[in-house]
Amino acid sequence: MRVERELMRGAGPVAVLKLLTAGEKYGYELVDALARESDGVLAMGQSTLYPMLYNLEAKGLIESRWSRADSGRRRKYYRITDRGAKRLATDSRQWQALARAMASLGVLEGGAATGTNTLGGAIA
Amino acid sequence: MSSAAEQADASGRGKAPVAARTADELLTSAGLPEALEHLVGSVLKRTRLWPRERLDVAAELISHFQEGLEADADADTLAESFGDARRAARLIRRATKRKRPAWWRAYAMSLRSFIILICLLFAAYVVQTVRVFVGKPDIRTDYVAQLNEPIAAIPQQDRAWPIYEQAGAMLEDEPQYGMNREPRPGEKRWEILESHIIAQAEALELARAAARKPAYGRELTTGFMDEPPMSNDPGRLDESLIGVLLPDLSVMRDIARQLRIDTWHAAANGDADRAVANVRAMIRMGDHTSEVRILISDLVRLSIWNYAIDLTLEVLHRHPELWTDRQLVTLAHELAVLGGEDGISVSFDIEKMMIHDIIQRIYTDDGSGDGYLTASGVRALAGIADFGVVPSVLDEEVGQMALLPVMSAVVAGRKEMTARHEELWALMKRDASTPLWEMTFEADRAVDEMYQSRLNKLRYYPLSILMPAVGRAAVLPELLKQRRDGALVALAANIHRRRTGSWPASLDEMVPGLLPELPRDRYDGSVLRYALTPDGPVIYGIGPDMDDDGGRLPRTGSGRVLLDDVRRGPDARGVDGKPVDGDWVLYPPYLEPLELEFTDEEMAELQDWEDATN
Repeated sequence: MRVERELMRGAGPVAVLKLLTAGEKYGYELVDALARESDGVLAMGQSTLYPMLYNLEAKGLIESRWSRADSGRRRKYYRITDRGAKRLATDSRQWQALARAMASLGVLEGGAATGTNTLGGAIA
Repeated sequence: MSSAAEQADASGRGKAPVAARTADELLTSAGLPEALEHLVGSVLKRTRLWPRERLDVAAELISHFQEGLEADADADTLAESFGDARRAARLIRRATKRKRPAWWRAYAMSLRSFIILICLLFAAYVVQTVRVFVGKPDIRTDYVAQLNEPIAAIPQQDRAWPIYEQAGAMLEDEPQYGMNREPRPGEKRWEILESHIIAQAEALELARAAARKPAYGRELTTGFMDEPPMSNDPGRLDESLIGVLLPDLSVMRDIARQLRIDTWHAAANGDADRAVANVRAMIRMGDHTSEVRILISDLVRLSIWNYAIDLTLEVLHRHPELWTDRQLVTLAHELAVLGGEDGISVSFDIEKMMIHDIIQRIYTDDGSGDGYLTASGVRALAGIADFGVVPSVLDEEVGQMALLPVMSAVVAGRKEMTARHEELWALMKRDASTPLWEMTFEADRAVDEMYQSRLNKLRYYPLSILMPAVGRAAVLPELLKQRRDGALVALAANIHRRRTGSWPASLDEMVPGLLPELPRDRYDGSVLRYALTPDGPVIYGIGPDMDDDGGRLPRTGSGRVLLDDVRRGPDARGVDGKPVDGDWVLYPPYLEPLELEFTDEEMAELQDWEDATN
């Protein structure tokens, strides 16, 4: 299932910040993780992801560094900053409130998501 | 961490540690499949980022696709999953720019604001241009016709102007004495004037006959510009009140000047009747001149009356026994009621109409009193005066196109202009109805303030060009009242002397028998000064220096002052620029010394007169 762009615009950055709490990641890794850990719901094209990463970086929520992998390939790793962590905590609470509200309205069946993956933990 | 990565961290977090100098070089050397290379190249090109930023983005995208290829994804799938290149480029550009330094973002914001401002101004300019050129004035009132209506009803036989005109045409120019005053009978070169004035007898008789007519009867005509630049333009001002032609004023002044000479001649030859007839004719001429009370006509009226008053004082002084008692009383009565009900005054009523007329011809009319300046209106304004406040490029069509919308935006709207005018006009009317000693000159100050600011001068054009000349006019009647009152006292004192054999010791002796009331000094509101000396009475006011010098003339002469100096107190300066330390002596009249020093040119001209008269 694909998520509407407007919803994705709000959910995407939170999802990325949440993924980075587990440790620094490079772009391809984030694309892969988003698709995998959200069962494809939050899969986003790189045309969306990289601008999002640059935006988060511009806001000081994440920072990047170049590093060389064992394969010898250069990778740009992103990691969450303290500021990003605070924002994630704030956003998470908002998402939780939203999820509860949607659940109480019956929009979300059986309560909020209860997945055990990285993203589920963030959004639940 | 590899050494390259370490290098990157050391040299700047987030910057690509690549050897390539440009993004294109990096892309070429990356060895990506053609589809991906094209995709990355396309994105990079569209981002229009700085080279260093492009290099960073290129490195990341190349790295991304290389990861994908290494994970056994094929190039087409990777390209497809990337998404829309155009959108990616746009978003990357936007996001990357947010990472730029604060100074750059501030600069970019300023530049963007500036460009937006320019665009807005341009749009406003275009809208204004269309507005200005499309807008047309709506002329609803023909003020000239309105003023002419009662004049047209005057029967021909009651009209004085046709006779004055005839007299003016018959009059020959009087001899000119350069900067000198004219000589009086008995003075050097009087004979030139005398022979001239004798030759004008017929014309002057006609003028006196004209003065006996009950009305002036001259209809106003217009034609401000010889070749109006907008002959088919409804906003033309040559048909407005300000375009009214007043060639009659110079004729009336000519006649008055020559009646003055004729009076000196008559008095010197004992012709009391002619002398008194001339003075009375001049009083009537003043009334006639301002039948329509345009300010300039009012000023000429004051000037002619001034001649009449001067003559009265001078004849009384030089020929004290010329006039009979009855003639003295007649003159006193006529001088006492100068101007009829309005008295000695200037009226700004026509000037008010004049401004309203201009406004209706240069502005649009939205029906509720407002409107904006039209293109034809600005061009019309350009024709009415020295356009010092308006760029001369308005003479050129291109300049008009370019500047008219701006001018229309800067010049006050119809409602504001009308309101400002009403405000100034009310101040002027108040000054004009206030004695000099109580005058606040607020109108003067308001006009001066308006005139001193170049922006206001333009904003309230045409008020700024018309009002300065108008404002100070309120002072002139006050000065003339003082002269007239001086003449009334002199007449009364002479009558008293004849009746009792001695001059009155004070003004009180003449009130109420010879003077209805004690005349006021227009400078301080106190009673006009009267001092009896062995040579006769001295009638005087304290003058612009505002102190009583015992009837002493200013050391520099008559003490005539510029209007601006009327109430300056000790700082008052005469027309010669020197301090006016002394009193304004009304009687005996002061005559400047007759120097009769002429330039060669003046001398040659006088010689011609002498030759002609011999």
